[in-house]
Parts: sequence; C-alpha cells; structure tokens
Amino acid sequence: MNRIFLFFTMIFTAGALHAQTAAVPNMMQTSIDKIKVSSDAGRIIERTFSDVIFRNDSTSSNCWFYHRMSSSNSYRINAFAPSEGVSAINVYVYYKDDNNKWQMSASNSNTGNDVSVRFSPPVTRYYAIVVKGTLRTNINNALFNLIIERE
Amino acid sequence: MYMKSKLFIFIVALGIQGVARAQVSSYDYIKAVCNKITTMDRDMTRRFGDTLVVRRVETGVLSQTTDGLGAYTTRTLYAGKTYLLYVFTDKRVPNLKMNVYAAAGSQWRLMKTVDDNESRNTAADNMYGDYELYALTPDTSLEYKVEIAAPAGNAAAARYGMIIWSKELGTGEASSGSGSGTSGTSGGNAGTTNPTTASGGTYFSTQKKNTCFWDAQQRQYRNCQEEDAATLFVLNANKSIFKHTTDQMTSTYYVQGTEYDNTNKLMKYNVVSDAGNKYMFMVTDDGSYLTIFCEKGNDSYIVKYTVRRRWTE
Repeated sequence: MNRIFLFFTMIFTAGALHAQTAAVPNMMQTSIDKIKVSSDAGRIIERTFSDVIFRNDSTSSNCWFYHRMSSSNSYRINAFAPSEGVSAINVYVYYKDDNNKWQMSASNSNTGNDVSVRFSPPVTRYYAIVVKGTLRTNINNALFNLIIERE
Repeated sequence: MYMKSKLFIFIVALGIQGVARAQVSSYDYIKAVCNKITTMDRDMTRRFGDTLVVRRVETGVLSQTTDGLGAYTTRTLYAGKTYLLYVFTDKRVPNLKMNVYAAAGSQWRLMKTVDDNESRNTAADNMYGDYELYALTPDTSLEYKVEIAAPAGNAAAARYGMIIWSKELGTGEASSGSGSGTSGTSGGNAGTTNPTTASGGTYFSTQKKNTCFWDAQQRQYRNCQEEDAATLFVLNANKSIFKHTTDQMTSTYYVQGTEYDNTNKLMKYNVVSDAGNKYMFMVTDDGSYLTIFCEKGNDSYIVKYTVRRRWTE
C-alpha cells in the first residue's frame, strides 16, 4: 500500500510542479501577507511553521519547535490562528539548563489569536518555542502558524 | 568609439545582472516557497480528497553545515497512519536529499535517505530546485527527525519548504479514482487493507450528546451539558477504526482492544485518537447509545451520544 501511495503521489507531483497557483488557502496567504510586511520593515524571516492544535492534547506534542537563535540578534516570534477555530494562543520560549531541565525564557504578554514575543537571546543556542492554543467550543483541532523573524 | 561601446555593453551587462539579482529578493524566495506549498497542498487535496490531511507545514533556511547546506525539523508521527513527507528547495539548490531519523533513546537512528534527483527546474517553474518525497507508516508512535541536506558547492544559503500530510491507511488510492480498485490490497503490510471502505461497516448517526464532568468531591459525574449533535460514527468492518464526522471535522480513533461488558450489555472499545489520546468507546447492544469515556484523573469526562439510527453496509 505504501508503495502504491508513493507511486501515485510521485506521478502526480511531477505534474503538479508545473501547476499554476489557483485559490490560495487562507493560512498561507495570511503568512505571505505578514511576511511581506516584515520584509518591507527589513526583518528576515528565518522560519515558519504550521501545525495542529488538538483538543485534550495537554502535552502539545506537535507544538514544540526547535530553532537556533543568536545572542547577537533579537527576534520576533509571531503565532496566529484563525479566530473561528482558536480563541487564544500562547507562545513560550524555553531552553534546557545544565541539569537538562526546561527553563522558560520568554512568553507573550498580549492576548488573542495573533500574538507576538520579542526575544533577545542571552546565549546563542537552540531554543524550544512552544505554542499552546485554546480551541473554541465544538472545534476539535485547528491549524496555527508560527513565524520566527530576525529583527 | 569601439572601446566606448565595449565599456557601455559591459556597464549595461553589469546593470542587467544587478537588476536580475534585485528581482529575486529574499521575499521573492519565501513567497515562492509559500506558493509552492499552497499549490502542492491544493493539488494533493484535489487528488486524495479528505483522506489526506496537512499535519505540518514548514519553511526555513538551509544554512551552512560541515557537509554543505542543511536544516532539520522534528515531529511526533503516530502509528496507524501513513505520512507523506515532501521537502523542496528553491532554485539555489538543484539537488537535495532527505534523511529520515527515528528517535532511539537520546540518539537518532537513520531510517531512510531519499535522493531521487527528481528536479523539474524548468523555465516555467524556475523558482524551485529539487524535491524529495517519502511515505512513512510508523510501527510505533515516535518522534522523527527530517533532515534536508544539500552537498557543498551550492549557494551560501537557500530556502526550503516542507509539508507533512497524514493519510488513513488504505483510503487514498480508492478516493483518487485510479488504481483500478487496488487500494490497500498490495504492499504486503499486515493490517493495511482498506478498512474504512470494506463492506460490513457499522454506522451510527447521532442526534444528541450529553457531556458530564467528573466531580472529585462528590465522586460522581455532574455538570452535564446536553446539546444537539448531528454526527456520524463509522466502525469499519474489521472493527479496527472508528471515524467520527461532525460538521466541523472528521476524527479517527484506532481500536486497540475490546471487551464485552455482560452486566451492562455493551461492547467496550479501547481506542487511541490520531492525536495520541486514549478513550473508551462503549456501544450498547441495542445500539441506542454510544458513549465516550476520557480518563484524565479529576478532569475525566464522558460524552454520551444518543443514536438516531444504526445500520450496516
């Protein structure tokens, strides 16, 4: 089954590479719009993520993102999700201390479904950025976006 | 005059090169990557329908490593699903390879290197470099690392994009309209026959649900909320997968064990969701109720669905 799936997919991908963009999903369009604003402001987009917030997923296992950040730069970390699915979103920046325990370095102070964290790393290292969201009633999961940009 | 012409041409050529460089800005590259993601997802969704679900989308920068350019990401992938990993680069990297690792304690174990050199870097599509695809069906739920690597000799940096879709086992080919009905019937993996479309599935349409929360002090379920719930549960013929469709979404639950409760005349199904959460589904013999129990200590709750109709196909 695996092979058949991959086979069909590969055939299709070859064709899709020549496909023209039609309707752009809201998620990516929102990212592109934000990236345009950031680029115009001189910020460098280092990374973007989209993943899923699940209801009852207390570990947020799919919402941990590891990114190396330099102490010589400051960063803007922006997480957002469609308001029809997510009522609130929170962003946390963690690092592992010498005892291999997670310590929080920063979190967002604003509220809503589009929040940002300004972060100036004290040390150059990999940091874990964790996104947690509150789903609206009757919503079991929702896509969210995360943009990490260098100021 | 001849010298002036040469100088002029030289300056014009320099200018053109400068314009050409300016035309492909950092924003252009990342916008192209985002557009490629959108296009790929749209086309894949068109082909595989609702059986293919985006789980992760990522863009980033391939930066210098000791071996060339590289980047990696990690994500938990769950047993019982097939994941399609798709990575690609912008045109500055015409050849990439994808390494897929599984967590092994505190180490990473290399599972697969994919380097099929499938670049279609044509004039009509000239913002993109190479891409690689890999379909993975985890035996166990683990954290996996996807590494994108490009050999030395490429540009100083480049952008990459990645999509991870998940797909229910054995359903994609069936919905694609091609494959001559071969979905899930070959490949040799035990348990990968097309369970959700096999004959004999049991359907439960629901009309109401009553959600009650555990009151640790009273030691009983209280604070019940009843509401209309027009939903559909489908238990496949093999009794290995529940699909639950609401007006918002479809969720999948994998049956890990069953037990018949002779006292209460109901069948218990221990299930795990595609998010990795465990529940117990209980179906009464007469098919009038389907109850979901979530054990979370003092946060436990039950959701009791009133079944409008039960039937098999």
